[in-house]
Amino acid sequence: VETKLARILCIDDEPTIRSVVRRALTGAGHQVEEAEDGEVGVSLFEASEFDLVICDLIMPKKEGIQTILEIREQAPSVPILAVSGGLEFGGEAIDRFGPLVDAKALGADAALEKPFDVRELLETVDSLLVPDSPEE
Amino acid sequence: MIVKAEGGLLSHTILVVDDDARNLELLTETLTAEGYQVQTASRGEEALARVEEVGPDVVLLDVSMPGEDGIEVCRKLHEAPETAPIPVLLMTSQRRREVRLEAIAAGARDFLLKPLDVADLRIRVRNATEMKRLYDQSEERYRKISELEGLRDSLVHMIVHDLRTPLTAISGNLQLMEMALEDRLDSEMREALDGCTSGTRSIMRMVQSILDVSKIESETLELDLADHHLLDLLEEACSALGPLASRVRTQEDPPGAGVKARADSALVERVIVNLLTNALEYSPEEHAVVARVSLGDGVARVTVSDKGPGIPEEFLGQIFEKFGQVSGTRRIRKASAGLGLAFCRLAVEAHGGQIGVESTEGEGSTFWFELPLQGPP
Repeated sequence: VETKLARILCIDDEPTIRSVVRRALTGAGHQVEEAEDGEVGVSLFEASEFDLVICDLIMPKKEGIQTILEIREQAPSVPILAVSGGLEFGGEAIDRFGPLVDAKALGADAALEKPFDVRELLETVDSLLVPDSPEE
Repeated sequence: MIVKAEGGLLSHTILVVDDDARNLELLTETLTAEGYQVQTASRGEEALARVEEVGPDVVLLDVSMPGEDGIEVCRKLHEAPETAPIPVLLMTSQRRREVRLEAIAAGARDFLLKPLDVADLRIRVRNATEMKRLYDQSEERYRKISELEGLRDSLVHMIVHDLRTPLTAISGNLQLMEMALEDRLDSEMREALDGCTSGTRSIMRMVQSILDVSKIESETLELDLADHHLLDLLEEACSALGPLASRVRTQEDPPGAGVKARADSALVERVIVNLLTNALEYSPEEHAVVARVSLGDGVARVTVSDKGPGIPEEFLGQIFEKFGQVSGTRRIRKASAGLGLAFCRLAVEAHGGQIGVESTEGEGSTFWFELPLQGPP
C-alpha cells in the first residue's frame, strides 16, 4: 500500500513514548514534530501545517481531549489519533477505553491503547493518511 | 461507646424498658452501681425511638406492656439490620414454655424471670454486654480488613497502571531495534532479542490481566458486543502470539461451519490468548496445541488442548480463582499461570458463558469455554 509521506505532530508528556513514536514514523519516511503537552501542541499546530496529529490523553497543563477539541476547531479534517493508557486512576472511572471512547466521540479519528505495538501504530497512521483509497 | 476516665474501662449503655416505674428505678440503680450507663423507656414505641437515639449495647425488655409489647419490640429490633446485633434480654413473670418459645422466635438472646434476682441480672447483663463487645470488635476488624483490601487493590492497580508507559517504551524500542537490524542479526543476537521480546510480551499480558480483572470486578466494564466468527477471533489471537503461533493448530468442527456468537471481540481474543499461552508453556515443543471451535446447544464452544503434564485433580477447583495460586503450593502456582485464568473466567462469565477444564495427569489438559450465541442474557 502506497502511503504519502506526512508531517506528523506527536503530543505526549512522556519523552520515551515520543521518542518511540518519532523513530517509528521517521523510519517509515514521515517527518515528526514533538510537543510535551497540550499547550505546546496546540501552539505548534497553529504555527505550522500538519497532515496528522497523535495525541496522548492524560497530560499536564492541557489534557488530551481539550487539545483534540481545539485542534479539531482549527482543522476540521486533519486526522487525529488518540493514544492513552485507557484508564483514569484515582477517580471513579476505571472503564475500559473510557477516555479513548470519549476522545473518538469528541473528534479523534482513531484510538490506540497503551502499551501499543509499533506495527499497530504504523498501520493505524497509514490507514488515517489514506482513508478513502481501497486496500490493495 | 464511652470510655470511663478513671479505669479506662469501656462503659456499656443499657436501655431498660418497663412500664412499671418501680422496676425501672430498681434496675437503673442496680445497673448504674455496676458501672453501666442506663437509659430508660416505659413503652414499646418509646423503646424503639430510644434505641435509635442512644444506640444501646444491650436492651432489657419487659414482655407485658400496654401498646406494643416486649415480644413485638424485640421482633422489630431483630428484623432491622442496624439493630439486629443488639442483644435483647426479655423480662417476664410468665413461666410458661410457649412464652419462651415465642421470645426465641422473636430473636431474644436471654430471659430474666420476674421478680428479678439481682445476682442473676448481673451475670446475664454482663454476658450480653460481653457478646456485644465481641461483636463490635469483630465488626471493627472486618472494617479494617476491608479498608486494607481496598488499599491493596488501589496500590496494585496504580503500580500496574504506571507500568504501561515504560512497557510501551521497552516494547516499542525492541521492535524498532528488530526492524532496524533485521538482516544484520546473528543467531545469538536474534535469540537475545527474541528473549527480550517474549519476556516483555508476557509482562504486558500480566499487566493487562490485572487491569482487566479489576475492571470486570469494579463492574464498570461495558461489553462491546457484535456478531463475530469465533474462528476469526481464534486466528486473531494466534497472530497476537507472534512466532509461537506456529505451534498452534486451529480448526472448526465441522469445517466451514462458520460458528458465530455475539461477543466482545477484544475480550474474547484475550481469553483465547491466555489459554493458548498457558497451553504452549506447558506443552512439550514437539506437540502442537489444538484450538477448536464448535457449535453446542445454543452456545459457541472453544477448546484448547495441550499435551502438557496435566493438572492434579485437587487443584482443578482453584485454578480459575483470583488468588487460587497465591494460597497454593508451588505446584499449583505453576499450574495456574497467575491471574490469567481468573481473568478468563470473569470475561467469559460477563458474556453469560461458562469456562472449565478437563485434565488427566500425565496426558494433558483441555480448557474450554462456551459463549451464548445471542450474547449475555
